[in-house]
Amino acid sequence: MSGWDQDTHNQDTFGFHLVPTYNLISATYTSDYVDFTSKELKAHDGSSLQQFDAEEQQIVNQFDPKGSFPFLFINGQYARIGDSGYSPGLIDSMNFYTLHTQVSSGARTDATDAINAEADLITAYICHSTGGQPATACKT
Amino acid sequence: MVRLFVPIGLVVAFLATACVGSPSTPGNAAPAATSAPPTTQAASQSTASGWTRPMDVTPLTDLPSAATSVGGKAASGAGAFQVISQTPWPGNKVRVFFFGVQG
Repeated sequence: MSGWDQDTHNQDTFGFHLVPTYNLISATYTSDYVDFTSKELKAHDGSSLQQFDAEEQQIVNQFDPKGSFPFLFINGQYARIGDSGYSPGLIDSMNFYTLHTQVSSGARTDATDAINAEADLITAYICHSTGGQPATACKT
Repeated sequence: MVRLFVPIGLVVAFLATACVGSPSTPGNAAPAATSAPPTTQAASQSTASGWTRPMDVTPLTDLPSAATSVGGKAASGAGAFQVISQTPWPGNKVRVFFFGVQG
């Protein structure tokens, strides 16, 4: 994945100060195994930002007709709708690059443990879907 | 707890399965991600790399199996995924899609 940027959600949304996250608007993801797209429907100011393509609209119509978000869809078999893997409070007010470095370096904190647990779960679903490929990512 | 933004764990997971192995310097100009339209469903479909996507996989129904199945890693309770279908989405690759809002 390349072209990503850092972001935070709007200050004090849902009672959290500033929660770091990725901005994937200009990101490109290349894989022999996974076809990934993401869409952010509204910008920080509430204006329209991106729109679904026909396939994405078909997925949402079929599996998330209420349009609840965040919505994560894996292989047509798994979805997480309107929920997340851990509380944003775990990373609230953290500097994006500090957190990124901690995750990348294998540092153990409550935040990195939560992030890695979420990543492992998503990886497990993807690896099951690909039949265990790529082996480098799917080995236990 | 509702969260509006891109799950960091999703990006971390993708860094493992992508052909491009390392994240770019933030701010790099790059074309927007695009998606392919659904293709005809078949028993299995091959990619240029020679890998054939299995189209007969049944979804994992519990986290312990996710931790012990082929390719599975230990999952410590993160997330609240639902099994939404027994049938994989068509295409020659595993389809993953996220949407949210910048809020």
